[in-house]
Amino acid sequence: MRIAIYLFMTIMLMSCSRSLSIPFERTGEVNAVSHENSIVVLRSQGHAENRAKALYHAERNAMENLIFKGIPNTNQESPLVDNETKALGSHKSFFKNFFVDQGYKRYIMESYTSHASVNKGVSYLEQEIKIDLKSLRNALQQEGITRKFGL
Amino acid sequence: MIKALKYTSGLLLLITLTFGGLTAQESVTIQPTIMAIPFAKENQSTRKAYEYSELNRIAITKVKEAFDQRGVNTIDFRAKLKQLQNSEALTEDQELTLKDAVIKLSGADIYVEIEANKDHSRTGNSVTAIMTAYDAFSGESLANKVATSPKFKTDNFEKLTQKAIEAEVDNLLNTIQEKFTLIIENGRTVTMEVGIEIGSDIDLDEEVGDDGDLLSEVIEEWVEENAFNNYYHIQGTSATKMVFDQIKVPLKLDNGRNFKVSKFAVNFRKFLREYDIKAQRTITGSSIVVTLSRL
Repeated sequence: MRIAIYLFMTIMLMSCSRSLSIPFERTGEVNAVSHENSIVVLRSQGHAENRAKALYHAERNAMENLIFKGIPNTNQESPLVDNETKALGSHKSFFKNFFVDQGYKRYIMESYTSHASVNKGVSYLEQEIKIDLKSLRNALQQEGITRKFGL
Repeated sequence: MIKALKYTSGLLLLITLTFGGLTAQESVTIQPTIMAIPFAKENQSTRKAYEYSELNRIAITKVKEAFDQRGVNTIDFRAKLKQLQNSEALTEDQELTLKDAVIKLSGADIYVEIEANKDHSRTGNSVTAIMTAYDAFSGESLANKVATSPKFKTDNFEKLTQKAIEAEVDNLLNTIQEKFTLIIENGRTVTMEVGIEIGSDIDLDEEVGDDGDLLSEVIEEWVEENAFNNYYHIQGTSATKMVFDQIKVPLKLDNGRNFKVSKFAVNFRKFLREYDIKAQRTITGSSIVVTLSRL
């Protein structure tokens, strides 16, 4: 009987741990570290059920904030893309490739974890990300998502 | 042989399509010409503000670099200054109005006024740079930024100037681009002043046409109908003068060509002919001055 109870509890615990899946959600937890010329360094936070996914969330959070919101106290205070809803609607495949398939990595010059912890099975980390703004800006222009400088 | 011909013609078609596509894409954006100039205080010449201040020269060069990186053509202030000085010997008064002369001669659409100042303190030295971008025709301010370098225990103010400009110049360009987007959406601003020729018996309060409308009312109605998105603002109306301080006109015509301010004035002149009124117009940049008299 005891064995049966242990077995039941083990199965229950395993099924619980499998169902823990934290989806990406954009937050404002992105701060400026430094900026120079067309390079910006951001500190972003992410959490997920494992460290690799938490890292993805942190990097994606930094990129989404930079592109759609702008980061105060940097050389990109205004968003790179004016109208997020319009851009996401008209360039679905580009943004799927960019955010979901991690195409944004092409514009990350450096990325390292400055702090990491695990609490109740959830990985939390703080990531410092160095981004090449000039090439990111050019890529968005070439895709026709943003306009070239001018009228 | 036939295969080679097919290959060549295919290649030619590809080249034509590629370059044709590029040309069409490029024609979408109008590249404004931009000139960076030093800020000159009252009773100070722009030339002296440039020649006597190394910080200003560095700041101007850094701003020019930033525009170049975005693929924007910049006009060299120093070259235009020399061109002007070569053509005429300047008097003291002319020196003081040099800025307007250089801007006019350069043909720049936008000019960015830059001022860099040293800041000394016990905790370290820094440089503060003020950058203001103006529309050269209307004089409207497009963007303003104050950039301050980090504090360092150094006397290398040239390096500090570079640091200050690098920190904010991207934001200056971004703000200018935001203003461009607003202009594309809402149109350009022109001003129009309608007056009466001296000695003419026309009165803006006189009735014209069959409906008993006043001349000023008819003019205002025309401006409303012809303004982009019907947006205009009238500063004031009297029997002898009407001042429109904002009339929005489109940036481009339906056929993709640039809308000319003179076209707006021509249409207005033709409209007034229906009421046997002659309209003489003077256009300076985006400002229209119309003087009315009897035909």
